[in-house]
Amino acid sequence: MRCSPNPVALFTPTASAVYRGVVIGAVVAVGAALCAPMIYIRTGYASGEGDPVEQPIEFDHRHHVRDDGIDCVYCHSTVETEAYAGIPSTERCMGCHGQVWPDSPETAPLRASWETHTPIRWKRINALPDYVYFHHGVHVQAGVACASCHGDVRNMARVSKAHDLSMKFCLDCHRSTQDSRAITHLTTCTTCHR
Amino acid sequence: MKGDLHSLVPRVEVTRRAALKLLATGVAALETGCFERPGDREIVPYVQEPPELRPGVTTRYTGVLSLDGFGYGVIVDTHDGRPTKLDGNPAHPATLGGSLPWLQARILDLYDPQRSREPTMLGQPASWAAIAAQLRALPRGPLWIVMPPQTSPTIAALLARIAARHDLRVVTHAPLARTAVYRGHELVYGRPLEQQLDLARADVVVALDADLLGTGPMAAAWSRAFASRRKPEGGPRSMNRLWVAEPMQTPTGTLADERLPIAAGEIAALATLIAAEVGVALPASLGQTAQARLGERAASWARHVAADLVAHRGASAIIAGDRQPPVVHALARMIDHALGNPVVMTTPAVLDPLPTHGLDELASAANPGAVLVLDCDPLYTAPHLHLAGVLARSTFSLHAGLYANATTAACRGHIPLAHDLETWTDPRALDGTLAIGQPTIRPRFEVASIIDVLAELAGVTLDARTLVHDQLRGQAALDVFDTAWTTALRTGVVAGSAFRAETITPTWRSPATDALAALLAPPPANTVEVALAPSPALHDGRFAPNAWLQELPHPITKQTWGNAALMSRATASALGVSNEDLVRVRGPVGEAVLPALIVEGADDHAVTIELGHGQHGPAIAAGIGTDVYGLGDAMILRATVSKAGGTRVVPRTQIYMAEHGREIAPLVTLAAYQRDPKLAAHLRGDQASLLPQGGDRFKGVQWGMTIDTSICSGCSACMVACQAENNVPTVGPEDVAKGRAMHWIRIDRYIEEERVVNEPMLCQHCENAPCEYVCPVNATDHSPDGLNEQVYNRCVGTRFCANNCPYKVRRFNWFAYEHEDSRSLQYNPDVTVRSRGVMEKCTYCVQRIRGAEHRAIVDHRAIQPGEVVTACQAACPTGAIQFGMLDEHDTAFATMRASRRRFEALHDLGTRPRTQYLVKVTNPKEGA
Amino acid sequence: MSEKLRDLHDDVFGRMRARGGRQWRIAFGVCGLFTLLLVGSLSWTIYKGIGVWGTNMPAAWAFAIINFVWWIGIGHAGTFISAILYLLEQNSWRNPISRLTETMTIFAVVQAGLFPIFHLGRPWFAYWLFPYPDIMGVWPNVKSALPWDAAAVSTYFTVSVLFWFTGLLPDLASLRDHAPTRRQRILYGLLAMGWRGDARSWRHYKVTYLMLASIAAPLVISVHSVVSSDFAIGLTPGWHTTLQPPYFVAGAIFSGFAMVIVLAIPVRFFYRLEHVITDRVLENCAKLMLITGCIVAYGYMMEHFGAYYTGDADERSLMFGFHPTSIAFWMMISCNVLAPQVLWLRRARRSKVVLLIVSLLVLLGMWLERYVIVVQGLLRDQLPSAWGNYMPTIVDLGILAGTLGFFGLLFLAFLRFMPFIPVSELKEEAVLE
Repeated sequence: MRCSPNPVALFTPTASAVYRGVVIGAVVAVGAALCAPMIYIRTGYASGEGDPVEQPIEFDHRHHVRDDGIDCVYCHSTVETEAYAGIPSTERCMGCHGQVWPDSPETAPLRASWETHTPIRWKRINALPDYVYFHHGVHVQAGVACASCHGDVRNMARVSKAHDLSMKFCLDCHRSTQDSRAITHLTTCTTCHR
Repeated sequence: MKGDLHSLVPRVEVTRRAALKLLATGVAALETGCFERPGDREIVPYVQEPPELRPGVTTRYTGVLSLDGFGYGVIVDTHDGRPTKLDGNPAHPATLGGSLPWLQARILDLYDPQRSREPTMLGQPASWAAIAAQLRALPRGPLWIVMPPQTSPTIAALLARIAARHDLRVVTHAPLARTAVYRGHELVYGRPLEQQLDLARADVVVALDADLLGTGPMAAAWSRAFASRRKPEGGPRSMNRLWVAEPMQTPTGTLADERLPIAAGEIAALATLIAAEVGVALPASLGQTAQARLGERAASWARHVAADLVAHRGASAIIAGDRQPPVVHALARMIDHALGNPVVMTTPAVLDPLPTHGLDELASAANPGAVLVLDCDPLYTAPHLHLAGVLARSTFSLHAGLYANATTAACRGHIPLAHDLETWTDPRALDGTLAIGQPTIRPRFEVASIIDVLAELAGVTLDARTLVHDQLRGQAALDVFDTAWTTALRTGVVAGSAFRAETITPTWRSPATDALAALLAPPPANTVEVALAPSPALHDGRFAPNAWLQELPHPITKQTWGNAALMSRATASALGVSNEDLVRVRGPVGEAVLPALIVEGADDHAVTIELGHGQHGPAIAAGIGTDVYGLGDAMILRATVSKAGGTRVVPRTQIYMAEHGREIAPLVTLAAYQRDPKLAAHLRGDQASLLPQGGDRFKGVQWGMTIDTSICSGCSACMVACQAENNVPTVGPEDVAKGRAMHWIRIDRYIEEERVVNEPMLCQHCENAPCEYVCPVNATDHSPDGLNEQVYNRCVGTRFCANNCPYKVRRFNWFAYEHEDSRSLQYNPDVTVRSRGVMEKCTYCVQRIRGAEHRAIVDHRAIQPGEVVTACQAACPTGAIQFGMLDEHDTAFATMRASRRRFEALHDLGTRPRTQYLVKVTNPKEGA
Repeated sequence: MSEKLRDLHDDVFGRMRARGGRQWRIAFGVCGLFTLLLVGSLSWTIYKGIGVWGTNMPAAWAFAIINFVWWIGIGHAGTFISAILYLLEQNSWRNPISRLTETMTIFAVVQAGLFPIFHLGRPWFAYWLFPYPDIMGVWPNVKSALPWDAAAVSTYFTVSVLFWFTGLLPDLASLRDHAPTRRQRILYGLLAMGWRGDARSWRHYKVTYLMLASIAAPLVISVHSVVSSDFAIGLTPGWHTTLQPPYFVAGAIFSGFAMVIVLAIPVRFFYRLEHVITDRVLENCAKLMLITGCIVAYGYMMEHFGAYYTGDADERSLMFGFHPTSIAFWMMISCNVLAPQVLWLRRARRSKVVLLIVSLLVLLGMWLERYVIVVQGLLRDQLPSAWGNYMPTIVDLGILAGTLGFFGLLFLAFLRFMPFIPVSELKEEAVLE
């Protein structure tokens, strides 16, 4: 065959090696780009798992639950029967703190709320999307311990998310109660989505 | 109008934000979107918990709505203090637990962003206090109050006190007031009386231009009573017979056993003939004139009716329509009397049944003094009186209304009227039963109720609650008052407050004869009858701002968003028009141009047009449909109708109303059914198949629905109930015309010749569901208790399921239809609000099923039969829709499921639907 | 000998460089505008929602799916020619147009690929159709045809691209060797992946090419069979029939060859390549078009016979009743069944004008066929109360026109910068002669 019009070599001898490198690199990069989000989504960076949030009041569960031995249900009073566990009203807190630490700076925001009749705006830690319908009551009735979703709150200074609360997290438990992956009343869609 | 719609549905912004966000942030961000991160949201507990309120739990209160003065008892579902759903109160005689479309839809008005929000005086924002002061300070001169009929004792008392201070003239004005009925009864009883029907005891029911099951203050209750006599399975007297003579098909007409299409103007003649036949003593001449005026078909029909009535002496009911002239009602009572029917007459609940002052009086008043227009829109409903002039002449004028309307502009002041759920009321039902309406939510802005306004005029300083409370205490009926008061509030009715029957017999007098003779005179030549009718959804137009009702398909024509000139095929071809061609209607007073719509079963000599459309008022009502109040000041007019040229789109949800040879909505006569009870056997049960059928896939509790097409009048209350319960959006006329209506349940109507069937069509929850296997992402799936589930958050919107659904009950969110405005307060928190681009459909109210299951688990018991009631079932006034567990016994559902009339729609496809139907059975008269 | 080869060289590459003139620029500009229209229409759809299309209930699928099936169909002839004819050793008339048709295939599939994605209510979740380890613990539904569809189309696209690019290598290399400027030489050099043209490379090349050909061949059949199952598994009258796969594949190749002719005739005219893309080549394409056309006609016949023979009420009323879509149906019959019949005449097959007209009619006809299949059944299914009508919107039309423009844009660019005649293969032929 004819050879190229000007004899000057187009590429240096190393070019091929570089070229191959680039081609392989490109393939790997694409693969990585696909895998990265799948890995990321399973980390606490995505779910916010484990990072404590500052609350309007430095409420310490360790102190109330572990030291004073107050039962969860005393404050979260509807957890055994209703969908929502219930966050105690200012009135409920004042029930004790009217006498206990009535003038400690720690409980000042509480008293403020009580006097000015303005509710305390807590930060929500464990939230589910609006299209997920979770019922605390039935889980408690079924013997699911608070800790299995909320973690060891009794030893948390500031409450943090203990699990990512992804759909998989729910399903792992719902499926483990049955041997097959068949759809049952525990794993059918409308158990959670309506 | 389009613009208005968009202002109503701020979907564009929402969509853009959603879409751009999702596009900009890649896959990773999308996936993190699944997570709610700590601190993203707040929890705001109460400072002091209200004792009766538990987060996320539905709290129910009794309430009462009023329409044209009559009370309709309701149960109000509230979530965290927000009323979200209304249902009929079983204890209340007007509803007996059933619903009407407008009753269900009233909840939307409560949160309607179009409601007038602030008092104004001379166009300037004012405070209620300031206006109240002006009302108190009104000079002692003449005072006109224009308002719809009232039944409230409290209002009566207040009016009495006002009359003491002012020269008071109350103008009772409602386009659909039942004045003709009272006048008619006055003709034969000497004074206006109300008849209390008991349809459950009537073997023969004759409806003369009366839509007794569709409209009117007792429609829901009468429907229930009527349906109790439509059980072909029962004994010999289990099926009554319904004769209906009407110019246009109505819900009542669709259930008729014998139906006669006849012009409304001919009804008098028909009634005369029937009366003569059953032996009412009338001047013979009348009988002959009537005979002469009626066609042969009508005459023989009348004879058959008479024969049937005579055959069932003492056990029949004759009802004339509200729009019929008084003398027809007089005739009806005479017929009752002649047959010895147990007629119960009571004093009317309405305060002044025969209005002492008319609007025309006001219109012609030289110096009217102060004029108050409360809760009505006379400038729109009585345009020929030109009331703007008298309002301008007045020394003071105030309009109180839920919405700013045509009248508002003509008045100096305006005060937003309180919604029935925002105030204390005490209206009576038709039978006099008193109900106490309690507010279930604090008004979101400054409003006043009629009672508040009247109290100011009467110089009373007490609030509405005290007034209603004291009024009730004043009535001797209640000895131990405080318990009685709480009982009244808990049950929603004041026990024993119904009127007692009068012992009185009708006598035919000469004035009646003269009136009748006048009616029987031949109508003016070369005119056609134009019969104005109430809109089944909008009533007299007061509900026009309600999007649910605007988009509710008409029970007969399936038209949404507007009205049309409804005519028979013959009439249309005579005029040379077809569907959607514009016609010009020239009435005695004014004219109107609107599209023609051909309706099977309409009379050839009458054109029917419904009222309530073509308003200039609130946003979405403006410019929708055509206003026909201007045609003349009667309901039955003689007019000329001609082709106007041009067309206007009539957005309809069903265009084809024939079965096209498919056996979808069977209908048999009672005789045929008794001859061969197994006639539906080939339309149910297993198909020959190589595949396993149903079988052990379904263990434990299994849900199903059965719908009796024999007693479905197509009233469509279920459609609105579903909309309210399941956050179903409205899409507007353009999209309805494109076939994008979102209703989860629709009423299919099949009509061939005289053979009509209403078939509610909703997700059939097929055991072999065609939609399930085609979904690529498992967004629709089958639950072990037999529900066909739709998972909105998993749906990507391929719409394959919709293609593959032979029942076409799946609905797609073509745009972002969800509300961002105050209407979102009405949303049912137990149901996901669907975003743009996802499929949705009937779920058998799965939120109610799962809710009941949760309660059962918490109470450590099994779920009880009848514990789960779907929204459509609860709303259905006739109980045609029954829902339950396939293995229950001795329940309404079980009995219906066991019926041999049971069939499956499109049975031959082998989808094994869980929603099943009962064949429609009619009871025609042999030889008729 | 070597002279002839040199001529071939200068012919093709020479003309390729020479004729980048005004006509090309104008054509390119027009296609560019339509491409902008496409971008505009799609952005509007994303911004407002799928409701800006004419789709509704009952016609939940319409334009987008029609266009998708149409473009995929067109994408079939390419691989059919380059792979199947290659395996059948039809090189004498296959080689001159193989590159053109492969290219057509790839660009057609690119158009087709747009639709399934933008057709979704929530396109940003399109990836849920692929099985990947998510944190929801749910997988795609293998019972549905759609995940398979996604897989089939993407496989087909990947293989076609590999096949096409492998074929390109030797020619890219000679372009590199004859490039006038250094920039071009580097560019083509990179694309040529260091092709030296020595015996060893040629041996590898041959094996690879043969292997890819034998992988690609079955895909020609499988892709449209899978696409057809989107309809065949449906309950809709007119969809639910086992006839669909062969009928769809035949139709696809039918329209594919029509598109090949529509492209080949102007190309050989503008580039004066009558001696390369000879009349014989076109005639053979015409013959294949005729055959597949007859298969399609048979399909129509069987569809109606099935409806009649099974006695299914819905099928019958659909096939034999009069519908809003009946006009489309009869247009389709005249385009797809009647028009190709002239190709029985040798003179017709030899006349470029006739060929061009027939091919254009066939392309139109095949679009109408998809319209009839998709829309007619939906508008007239089992439940009369749900019957409706369908009217496309301006956006629908914009997208269709846009894809045509985008296709043209890509194709023109290819003509301008790439060896659209497989010179190396032609040389090989010549050498063998």
